[in-house]
Amino acid sequence: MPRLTATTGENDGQGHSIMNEARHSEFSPVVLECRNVSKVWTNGSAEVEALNNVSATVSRSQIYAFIGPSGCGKSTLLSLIAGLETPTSGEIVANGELVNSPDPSRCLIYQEPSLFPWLSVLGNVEFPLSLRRVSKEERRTRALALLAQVGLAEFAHAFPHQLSGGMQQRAAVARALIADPELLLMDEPFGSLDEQTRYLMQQFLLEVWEMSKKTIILVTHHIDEAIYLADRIFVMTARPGQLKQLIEVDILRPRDLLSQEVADLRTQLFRLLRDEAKMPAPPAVTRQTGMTT
Amino acid sequence: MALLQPLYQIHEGFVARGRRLSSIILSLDTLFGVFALVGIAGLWELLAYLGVINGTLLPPPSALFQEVFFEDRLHFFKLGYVQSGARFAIVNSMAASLFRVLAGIAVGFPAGIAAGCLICYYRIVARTLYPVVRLLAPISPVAWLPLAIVFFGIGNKPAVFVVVVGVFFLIAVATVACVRNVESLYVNTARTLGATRQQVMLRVVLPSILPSLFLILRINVFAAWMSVLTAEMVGVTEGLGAMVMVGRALFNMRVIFVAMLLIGVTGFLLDRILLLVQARILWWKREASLA
Repeated sequence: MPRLTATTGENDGQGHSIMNEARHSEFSPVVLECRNVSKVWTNGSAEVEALNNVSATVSRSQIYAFIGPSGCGKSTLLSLIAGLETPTSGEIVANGELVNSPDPSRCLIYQEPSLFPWLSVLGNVEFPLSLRRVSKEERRTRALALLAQVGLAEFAHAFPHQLSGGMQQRAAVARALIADPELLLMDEPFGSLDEQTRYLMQQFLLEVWEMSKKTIILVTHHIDEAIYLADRIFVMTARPGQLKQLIEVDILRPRDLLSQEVADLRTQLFRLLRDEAKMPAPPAVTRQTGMTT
Repeated sequence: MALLQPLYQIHEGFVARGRRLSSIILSLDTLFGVFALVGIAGLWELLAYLGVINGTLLPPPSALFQEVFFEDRLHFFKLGYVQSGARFAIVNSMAASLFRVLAGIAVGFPAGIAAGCLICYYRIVARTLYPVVRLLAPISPVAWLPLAIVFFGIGNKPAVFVVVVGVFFLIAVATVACVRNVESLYVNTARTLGATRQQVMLRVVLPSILPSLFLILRINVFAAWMSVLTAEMVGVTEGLGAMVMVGRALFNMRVIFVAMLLIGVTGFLLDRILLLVQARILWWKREASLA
């Protein structure tokens, strides 16, 4: 049986209950901390509460998955962590520094193919280095080496539209890795791929992780994907997103998706998500502007 | 083995691109177009021969072709002399008009993009320059003509200026709209990869709006073409516009018709030239906007 450390059930509204346990994890120092993060999107006079009091701690070289019903604010959380948006209240600290702008140490990979269509695959992978005025030879050498590692050496001079969806995502991962980020943020990176390609890409991501030992935060709505990849799974509630439960996955890799322990975990996750789906989606919280938090 | 097939597809892609370039120039559609034109010309010729239409007011194609080789009356007005000093009035007129519109685009297009980008990049420019651009943009390029003639005198400059003005305002306003509409996916990706604001502007926003801007330019190129002709009718002594005016001065319908035909043919060539430029500088863009 897997050791499923399902910790403190419901979020107690203060938001820190879950995380205090993860903070003292066996090894790995903390690379990222979300403290009581809330986000309210304002659209005219209407306000939509996307995230409510989310606290989470992320340790180095682990894979985290955020899973939850659609519209629960998973993607919002990622763009907050990436620094593309700022939280309405609460704070995000990466490596002891407050996150308030994007930084190449926290790279975000989207679901949609995000390679720049006007650059070749090589040009795309070189892009982060060229921003930093790395010499042309070094850029080329490093990009080609990385492309070889992700199995795209032959396609260095092809353009993105000539690659399949899976190849494009592999190139996007290479582009993210070349900047040597601390954190790899992935927003449903394999969501638009077919089932077989998705499975290959999950294996690919594990290879990348073995090789680079990056910290990876993955947003998904795919239960099996979370189980197959993650060390820890954060289950989120329907909107406004709160952390419902943290599940540690202590199953040895490579994980067999047909094994009993995976099946048990899948059942548990399915129940948690089904409960969220049963609840009528809370209506957009509408308040007068200026009365946030 | 699995890798071989995609490689083959890539090769196919490159071949297809080469084939596409040539097919733009010579395709079945073009052939049909030529047949249709020949058909209409034949009908016209026949009706004139039968006396159904008045050959003086609507000269038949055969008379027009003769006119092309009967250049003396054009030389009386020194049509085409400025360009080469030689007796090729028609070729020189076409070349002169085409040169003016291309020169105007070559100046106006980059200047319009630069102005639009500056407006989007600096708030101070947006607050000062943008209102001015918005106010001046609706002024017809031809309305600038009297001003241009006073400033630059008679010659190439006012005609080129009119095109520059037309293209500049069009592209400046379009650039602002395109930048505000740019794919946020690319911008955010570049930002998380460590791009500064300036790098995002130059290396992401600019290449991603270029295809739309070029399309807008191509759609509007005939407006620029018309403004050149108008400028030539008023302030220049050579070019296709001037040729139309010479025909009017001589009450010679044949010259007028020849000039009009050449205006059509040259305008068509202009569009083809831009299409080829587009295929060359927007290599990553596929069919959709090439067609």
